This record gives sequence, structure tokens and C-alpha cells, in this order.
Amino acid sequence: MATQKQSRKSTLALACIIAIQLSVASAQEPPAAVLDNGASLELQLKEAFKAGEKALVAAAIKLSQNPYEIFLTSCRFELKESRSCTKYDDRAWLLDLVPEFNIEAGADGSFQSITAKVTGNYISFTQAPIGTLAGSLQPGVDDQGRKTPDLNRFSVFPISLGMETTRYFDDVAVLAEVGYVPFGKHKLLGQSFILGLNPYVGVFLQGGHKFKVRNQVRIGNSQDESSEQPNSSIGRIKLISKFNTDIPIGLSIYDQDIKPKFNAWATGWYDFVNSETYYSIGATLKFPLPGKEETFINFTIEKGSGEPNFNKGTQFSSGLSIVY
Amino acid sequence: MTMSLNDLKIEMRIHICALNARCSDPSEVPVDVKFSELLPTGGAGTAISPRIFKSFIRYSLIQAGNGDKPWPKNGQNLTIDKLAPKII
Repeated sequence: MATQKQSRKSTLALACIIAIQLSVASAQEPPAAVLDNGASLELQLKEAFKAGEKALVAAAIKLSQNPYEIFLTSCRFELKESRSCTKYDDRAWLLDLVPEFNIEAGADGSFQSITAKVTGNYISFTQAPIGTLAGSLQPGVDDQGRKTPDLNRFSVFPISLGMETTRYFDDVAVLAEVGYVPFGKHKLLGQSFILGLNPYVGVFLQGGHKFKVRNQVRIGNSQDESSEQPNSSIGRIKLISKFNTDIPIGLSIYDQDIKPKFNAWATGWYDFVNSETYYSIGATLKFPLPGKEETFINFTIEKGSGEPNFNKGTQFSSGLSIVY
Repeated sequence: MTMSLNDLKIEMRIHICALNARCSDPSEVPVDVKFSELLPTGGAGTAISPRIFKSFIRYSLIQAGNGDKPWPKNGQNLTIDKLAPKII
């Protein structure tokens, strides 16, 4: 009897141990959730995520094909005779903003980063009768007195408002930038040039916030060497300058004359939130391929990478560029 | 009085000449050459010649009472002669 009782106790203990082990095993390796129709829940979630991405990409394509533009002018034609409009007869303005939606795709067709911005220009300019600007075309102008923008001197204020995030929405940056770029046709040493196009100089005010929603280690991202910390505000003043020129030396390869091009730039930032300065200076030498004026071999040297990472090193690079 | 097609073409030539360092008179701007070859490169960010040119032409058409018609997507590959009738 005692042996039978001991045997029952051992069997019960063994059953309990097996039951406990089974429950531990089930806690460590949960079985894949299966839906009523037999499909895997994990697989369905992945598909739903991809479907969401596809819908987002489709919305972005639709937006790029039919952008909701903002185009405002100092005066509309219907209000031209009103008192509020006559003050803009000689000096007027326009505001031209367009949404920009960029998706950087990953190797598996899903997106890696999303940039959503509104970019454009506020332009302030003077107006003059079209007849006075038409030069030798003046006799052909139908309405000599109609006023039109005088592009010989005007001011452009580039605007950019937007946000950038990753596929995982772990890093989110909200940025706003407003600049001032003077434009005008000028002469120096007998040579005409368009200030604003070549060369250009400008000053920009940048503000925003870097959000770190959660930490995620990723391979391949360049290191951020700036003093700007995650979950902190961004406030910078940026000064830019750049010019392009043809090098006045004649080179001949295979009986073809080639004209090398040179451009140089310098950009400086003052981070007034962290009291820090950064800069990027560089130059590119471009050699057009013989017989192909639109294809160049480029050699670039650059010190300081600029925003957003502000790496301080010097980089040499070469490449081929084709202008379409 | 709305802008005529002829005036629009002249206005385009005036603006292109003003944005081009080598141009001294609007009559030098050909009407049968693509905008991509007429408008110079360069500029910072959105302050580039094709975008500025488009803004000013839209402004003038609105001011003259011609309205703001959508521009063709391949505008840069058109000539003055081809683009002007599409937007007036």
C-alpha cells in the first residue's frame, strides 16, 4: 500500500514537473498567432504595413502630379482699381509655394525616409511699363503702358517648411528656413553677371526641433558631429556663396578644344542655440569630354560636410556628371 | 485689357534677357529655342531661374486679367513659340 501511495505521489510530482516545464516552454516560445481563416497574424500585419506604405506612395505620386500650389500676388486683377491695390503699382510682391514629398526607397521596395516640405519663394520687385523694358522690341508691344516686373533688380526670399522622418518614425526633424538672396544684372571689369544666379550670396535663418522618439541602431548612417542634441531645438544663421566660371585656358584633346569649368563655394553656420560655428568650403574642376559638352569628369575637394551632420574632415571625390 | 499672345512672347523675351548675363537686348532671345537652353543654371535652393521666370510670367498673366492656367509639365523642353499659346 505504502509503495503504491509512493508511486502515485511520484507520478503526480512528475506530471506537475512536466506541466510546469510545458508552461515555461510555452511562455518562452509563444506559438504563432493564427487567425480564423488559418493565416498568420504576423504575416497579415506585415502585409497591412506594406499596403499602408503603398497607399502613402500612391498619395505622394498623386500629390506630385496635382500639387496643391499656393500662388499669391500683391494685387488681383479684379481689385486693380481699388485703393488697396494702387500702392503696389510700382513695388509689388508674389508668393509661390509648392509641396514637396520625397520618399527614399529601401532595397526591398519599402521606404526608408520620408521628407514632406513646402518650398518656394517670396519675391519683392519693382514694376515698369513694358514699353520701357522691351528694348528694340518696343514698336511691337500692343499695350505700351502696361506695367510688368523689372527683373534688372529684385529680392528673393527662399522659404522651406517641413519635416523629415525615418520609416520607423524614431528620428523626426521639423525645420523651417527663410532666406534672402539679392538678384540683379551687374557689370564688373566689362563683364556682365547675374548676381543671384552666378555668383550668388545669401543669408538664411534656420529654426526647428530634432525629436528622438526611440533609439534604434542602424548601419550606414554617417555620424552626427554637430553640437545639436536629440530632443533639442535647432537655431542657425547660414551664410552662403558660390560662383562658377570657365577657365580661360585652351586645352585640346584629339583635335577637340575643351573648356574646363571651375566652381567654388563657401558656407558658414552660426548655431546660436549651442553657440557653435561650422563651415563648408569646396571647389570642383569640371572637364568636358571631347565632343560631348554636356558630359563632365569632376574633381571635387571639400572641407566640412555641412548640414545636417557637420562632419569636419576633408573629402576628395571624382565622378562623371551628365547634364540633361 | 488682357495681355495679347504677342505681348506675352515679348514679356518672356524681356525676362529671359534680364536673367541672362550675355543678353543685352530682348530681341536677341530666340523664340524657337528650348527654355532649358535659354535660362541659365545656378542659384540657391528654390531661387533658380526656371522657377523665378515661371513665377513672374504667372504674376503678369494674373495682373493682366488672363487668369492662371496650368503650365505643361514639360515646360522646360518647350520654346517660347510653343509655351505661350498654352498658358494664355
